[in-house]
Amino acid sequence: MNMLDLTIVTTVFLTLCVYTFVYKESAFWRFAEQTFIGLALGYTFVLAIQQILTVAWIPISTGKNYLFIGALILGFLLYARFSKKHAWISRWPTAVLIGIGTGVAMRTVVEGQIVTQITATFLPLVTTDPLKTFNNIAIVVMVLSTLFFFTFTGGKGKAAGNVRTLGRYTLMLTFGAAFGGTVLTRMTLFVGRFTYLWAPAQRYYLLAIGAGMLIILASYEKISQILTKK
Amino acid sequence: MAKYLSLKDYRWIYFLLIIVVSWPLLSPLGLPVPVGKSTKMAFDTIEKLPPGSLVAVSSVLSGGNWPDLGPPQTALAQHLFKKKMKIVFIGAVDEAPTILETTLLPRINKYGAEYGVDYVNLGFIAGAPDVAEAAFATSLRKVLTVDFTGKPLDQLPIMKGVNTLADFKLVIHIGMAEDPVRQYYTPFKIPLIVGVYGMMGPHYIPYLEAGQLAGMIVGLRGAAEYEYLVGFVGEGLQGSDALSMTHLLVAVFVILGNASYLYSTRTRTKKEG
Amino acid sequence: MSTFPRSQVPLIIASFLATFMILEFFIDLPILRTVSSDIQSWGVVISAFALGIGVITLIRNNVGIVRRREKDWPYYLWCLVIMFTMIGSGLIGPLGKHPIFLWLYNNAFIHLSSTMYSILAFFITSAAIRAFRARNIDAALVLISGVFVIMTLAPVGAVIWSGIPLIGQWFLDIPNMAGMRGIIIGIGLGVLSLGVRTILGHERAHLGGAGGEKQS
Repeated sequence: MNMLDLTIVTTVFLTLCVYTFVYKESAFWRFAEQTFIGLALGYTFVLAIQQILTVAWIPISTGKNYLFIGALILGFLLYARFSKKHAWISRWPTAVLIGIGTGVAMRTVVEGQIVTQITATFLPLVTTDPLKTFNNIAIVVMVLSTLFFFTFTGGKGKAAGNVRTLGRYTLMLTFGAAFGGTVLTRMTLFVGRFTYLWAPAQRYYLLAIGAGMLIILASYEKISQILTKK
Repeated sequence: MAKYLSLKDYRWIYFLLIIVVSWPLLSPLGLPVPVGKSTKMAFDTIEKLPPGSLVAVSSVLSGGNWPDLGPPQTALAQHLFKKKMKIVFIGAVDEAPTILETTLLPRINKYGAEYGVDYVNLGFIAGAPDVAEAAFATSLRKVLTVDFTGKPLDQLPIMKGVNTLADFKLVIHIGMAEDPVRQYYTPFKIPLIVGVYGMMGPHYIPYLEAGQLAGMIVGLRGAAEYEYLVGFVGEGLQGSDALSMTHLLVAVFVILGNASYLYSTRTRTKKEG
Repeated sequence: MSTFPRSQVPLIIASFLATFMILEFFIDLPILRTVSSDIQSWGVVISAFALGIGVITLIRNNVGIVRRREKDWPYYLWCLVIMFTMIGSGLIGPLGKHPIFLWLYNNAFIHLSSTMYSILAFFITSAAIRAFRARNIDAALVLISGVFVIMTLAPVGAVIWSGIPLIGQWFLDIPNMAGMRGIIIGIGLGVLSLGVRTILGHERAHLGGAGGEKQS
């Protein structure tokens, strides 16, 4: 078996191991699951080392920026969480990450997510096109009612309740669109895998390995049933 | 009918799904692919750029999301190379630079582009998306001293004079859209195109309508549209028919399931009445 | 031991850095920009160290299972073997360029990763026929909007009836856009309030999970 065949056998076999999960949780699935976890963490670890070397170690070793020694120390302090007695030390580098992340997100959220979106809601409520007029009015009313839906203090009474109901209906339509998008993503991932499996180079491997695995699984199920009856 | 639709062994549904997705892949249906507004906006934005413009492409591409994000990024990269843009690839996750080299770039025609001069892979920046993207946008030279091959940035002609995102003419982000809107568009007001997961497409329409995005490519469907515009047959167009049939199956199942539910509710009401 | 280094110091660090990153953005001084970019680089380095926590956690967990010969222990041993193979091959020579490392990544990891996520397609299809029911008006609105958007996002919708993409696009551009805009504004306000709580030291969630004692 040359290298190309082994590659295709490996890819098709591992893919089908995962798909046996929908038939029945099996040894194939457990094997694929643990292989995935091991590979994922191994890969992440190597790239993390690479990042630490390029960002911090090279400037330190070339004398360009000794301040990164502090970053390395803080990084190692993260592992204090594995010690029951000294775990609290890992809060310091965590706090650094929280502080940077909070500041970086906060400084642009006002313009990016609040002001610009509110400004974009200022639409002309009377235009020459009746459909556009209707749509603009619908957008303004729905945005306001959605925002009102999220205010849980103040605004009691029937009128306020009706506005909140409109807000809730708007959100239901939004979630319906989100559901449509979710179907797109799930099916895209599925189509992507089968595009690979049914490609000319892989399809006969797919049929052979798939048939073999189904026979093994069905036989195992049958034998288990017979042994259980005995 | 209700009895058949509520069978306890639902593996027949899985088998049907496999049939429905396999059939168009083995025998393409040739369904037309209408081009959406957001995809056309993205295409026109790149078409208007002068050749040689510096473009940043950041992505969260990984093995797990390749079917959803890979085709949009592939189609965009193909367009950029075709238009002779200078492209700087950067990853916001650890897998992105590897999958770019091993999977994406071998699939496209680079039109004679030279590494280091016309395009570069800068590797990835660790951290939460906001932090990594802010670091890339404002402190590029501090967080990236070498490219993915280990070559110092100073030795790469394409990186000459490039210090922050302000030096770029266009930014493309493949992944979620909130972070690049906050970290790329809001501070620098550079045109931003995003390639997003299918399920996030509806979520980001407000950004498109507010003018914060110069275009949006939504998952495999958007990639198919973009490939059609660029004249490139990739995974988008290849999977378009299968995608259509699976969507049709889900829609039919929802309708059938609810028809069965309404029928059984009415029957129960009649019996009780 | 005093609670100052355990509880107060992390709050002060987070508060100071958040405030500094915000001020640097609005005050145009080169020295602030330089310090800010250094701080962000530190964040990148610390984040890279955080990626190693998963490896150590896995080793501790799996070694314990293998030693105690718990159920399915050979799989956990295999997990360790494959992880160390990946790490070992990745660290030989130029980092992450060894042929074994790249072969495992391209021919095992990518395919496993894609397939794991794609399994959800089976479950969403079975849920479509078994679980998605319009039991009330709210659910009905979700399903009507959902079905039209599903058929709009697939090219086949336009082939079945030209009105499907028109109606579906209307659902996307008007009620979906309006609802999402409300949600985006709400999220923005939430990020602001969480940030203010962090700066004022009222946000202590990130203190949990390490230290063991009650938060003060």
